[in-house]
Amino acid sequence: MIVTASVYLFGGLAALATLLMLFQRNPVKAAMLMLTALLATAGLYLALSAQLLAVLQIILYAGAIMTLFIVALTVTPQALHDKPSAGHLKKVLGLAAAALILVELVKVSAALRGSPFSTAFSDAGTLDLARQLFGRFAYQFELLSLVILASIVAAVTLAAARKVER
Amino acid sequence: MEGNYYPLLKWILAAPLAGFALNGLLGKKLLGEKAGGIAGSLAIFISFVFAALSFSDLLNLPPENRLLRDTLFNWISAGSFSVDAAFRFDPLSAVMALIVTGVSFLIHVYSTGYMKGDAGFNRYFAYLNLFVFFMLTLVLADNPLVMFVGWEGVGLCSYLLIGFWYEDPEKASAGKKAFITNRVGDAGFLIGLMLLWALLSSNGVFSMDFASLEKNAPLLASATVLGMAAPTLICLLLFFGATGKSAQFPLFVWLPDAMAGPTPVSALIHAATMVTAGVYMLARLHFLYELAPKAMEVVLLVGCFTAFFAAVIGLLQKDIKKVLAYSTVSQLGYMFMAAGAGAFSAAVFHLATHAFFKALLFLGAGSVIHGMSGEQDMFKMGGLKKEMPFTFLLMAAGWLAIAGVPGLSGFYSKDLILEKVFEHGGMLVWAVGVLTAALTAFYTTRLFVLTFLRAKRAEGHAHESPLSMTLPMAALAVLAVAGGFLLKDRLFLFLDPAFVQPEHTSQAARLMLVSVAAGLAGIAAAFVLTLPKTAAALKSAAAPLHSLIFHKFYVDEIYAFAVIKPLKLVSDKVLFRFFDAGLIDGVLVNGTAKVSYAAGRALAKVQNGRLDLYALVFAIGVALMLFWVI
Amino acid sequence: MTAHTPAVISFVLFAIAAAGFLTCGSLVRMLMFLELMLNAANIAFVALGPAVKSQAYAVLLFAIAAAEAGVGLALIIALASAFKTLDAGGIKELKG
Repeated sequence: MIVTASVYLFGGLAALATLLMLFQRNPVKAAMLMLTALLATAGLYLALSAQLLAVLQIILYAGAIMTLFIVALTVTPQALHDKPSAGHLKKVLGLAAAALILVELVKVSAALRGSPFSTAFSDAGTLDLARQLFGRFAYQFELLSLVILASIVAAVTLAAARKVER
Repeated sequence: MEGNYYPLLKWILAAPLAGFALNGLLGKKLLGEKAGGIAGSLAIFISFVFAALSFSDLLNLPPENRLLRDTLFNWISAGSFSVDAAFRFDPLSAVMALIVTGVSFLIHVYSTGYMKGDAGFNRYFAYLNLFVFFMLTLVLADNPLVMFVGWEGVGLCSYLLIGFWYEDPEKASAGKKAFITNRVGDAGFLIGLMLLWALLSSNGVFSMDFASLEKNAPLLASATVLGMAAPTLICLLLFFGATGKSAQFPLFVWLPDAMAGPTPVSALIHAATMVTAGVYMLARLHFLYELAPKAMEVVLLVGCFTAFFAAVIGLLQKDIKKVLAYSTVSQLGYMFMAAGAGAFSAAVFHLATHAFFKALLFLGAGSVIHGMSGEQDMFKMGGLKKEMPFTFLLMAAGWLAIAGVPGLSGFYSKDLILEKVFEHGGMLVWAVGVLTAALTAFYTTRLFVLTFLRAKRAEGHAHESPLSMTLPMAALAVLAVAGGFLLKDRLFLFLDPAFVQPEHTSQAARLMLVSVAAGLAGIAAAFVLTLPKTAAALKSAAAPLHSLIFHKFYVDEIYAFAVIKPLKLVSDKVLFRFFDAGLIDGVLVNGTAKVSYAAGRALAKVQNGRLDLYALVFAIGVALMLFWVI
Repeated sequence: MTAHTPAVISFVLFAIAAAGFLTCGSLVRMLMFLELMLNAANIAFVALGPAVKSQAYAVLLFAIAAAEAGVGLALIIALASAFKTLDAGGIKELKG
């Protein structure tokens, strides 16, 4: 019961934060709202008995990615002082598209009403996860390190390029 | 197939063609004037010799079987429509071929003197030879389509030769006028031919050579097209083509303008040969016309009207060549009158004598013009009897011949026509014919008097023409004087083996007296009325009529207003502005380009480089896909 | 609880983030919403499928999201210095 309530709570919090981001002008405040949404997602994970995911969410998303955003916002003055403004038509079309996607997805998910979701806490939950990660998905796991390497190289090249040009 | 195979026929045609090639390809630089003139004349002479040989071979055949043929190759073969390039030599073609090559040869010799020193000397001879080639194709053809090739070819050469001195825009446009007027007639000719073929083939006949046409023509006697009897319609259409080629009303307007060309050209093409093609065509297709009496009536009336009309205009012309041009139109009218009255042999007889004396008259006029250094206005001549005696004598022969003085060639042929017209055409037509004879005598005498007699009006001295010009004239003069008498009965017997010499009735004698009297009256009247004081008095007395006649009844102006102007207007405003420039250029060509361009521009807007728009479109696409799938 | 609930939550989050992505005008914002969309997708992974396997997938997605965020931000910095503006509509170098 509590679990269901907390799922709704955290889910609603994340949705609310994202919604408020839509109307937020100040980019820093928007970043803060994003942080809220990400932390709420972490809570959601906890409620869904994905403890490792919750922790990883906080470390990676809220910790690394968010920090990266804040740093980038600080470094680029244009990002700090941006004034988002889109044409009315674009806004309407965007909202319409998103709404349509939502409606369709909800329609699809009606089939899910039948499948149960266990939120039982199990001692060996993380152990099983580790076994999966380093066992069955070992190849994908190692590939990931390549992906991260590639992204590091790309980031360094892109960000440093201007220094070279000057 | 009837007729005997005769290989010489194609060589009659080949000689002038070779002359054309020689003068045309080698030209002035490589060939030179003297050699070019000799080559051109020699080519025609060879052709004449071959024609004479063929003629004598023809005479050796029995009269019912006088036909020589040669087929060169299969020209058109399209399904059931098959036409050969075939030639025939029968009495009618023999007469025509001899006249064409003979008179042509004399005129070629004359031209070597007349055109001496002209910059386009070799081009002239090339064109003239080409003309003879096409004319021979016309008269030697064995089916109407090969004849049409010759028909068109002589039209082309006429255009080339009328506009020979093309740097003068007036002369060039005279050539254009001739060609275009001819083409109008040719449209009728072609439609008539197509109709003929269509009707014959629907009756199961698929060959169009003249022998089979003659045999199968009666099949058409009962057919009707558009409510008219088929033979009548076909004959009228073919006759319309003849009015174009032979300068009858309403398509005669090109002939007076054609005098812009060199005088030997006028003599050859517009007196002796090309303009007679229409008469030849009628004589060739006489069997068709005999099936259509209504068409023959039309031919008779048109010929009669044209003869009279042209003679009237010729009464007051100032230019010596224009008088002769209208005279030609008038005499051609006589030939058509004869054809319309059913006397096709009489028409051919007059064709022959007319070739002699008209060519002579034109060559004489050319001699006068040559001697007067280019002057063509008769009122500026006079008294040339002393200065150009040869020309004077020879032209006198032509003058008397055309006036119908008894014993000369013109008398026999014209008298015969009038007799036949009286028998078959009616009193009125005959009376108009007699009146026209009087007018003919009048205007020719007037020409003669103003040019050679009376006091000299011009300054300077006119020189007599060289032998190269006077000798051919002499030959023609002999023919003009004696030709009628010699050819008279022999020609008819030759053309129509069933000919029977008619009895000389007293009625015929009376008719003859009337026409001779008319001719003499015309001559006398001309001597009187051309005296300066009398002429001036007459002119002021009948000033409006005089003006009307002098301006050729304003026919050219009427055509320009009624036909040419609307045609130009339609061509410019409708066909050019609306269809060509507007519709095709504007809508189809430019329009397609504009539409493509606009579509391209519109599509280019999709690739505008804006990421947010890309994302938006992407999302809309995903949403729509989900919408339709789920 | 059925799988329906977290699934719908993830769809809602995704839709809102998508709306934001499509209607904002600045590149930085677009990136932020992009991360949120990826986050929502992550939740979806967890919601659907057997517990362990879907969680393993989610872990992998974390790493990918991080890598992508890093590259995206580097791009933004480079674009900002090159074009002096981060307006999504203003950068039109790919115009056709």
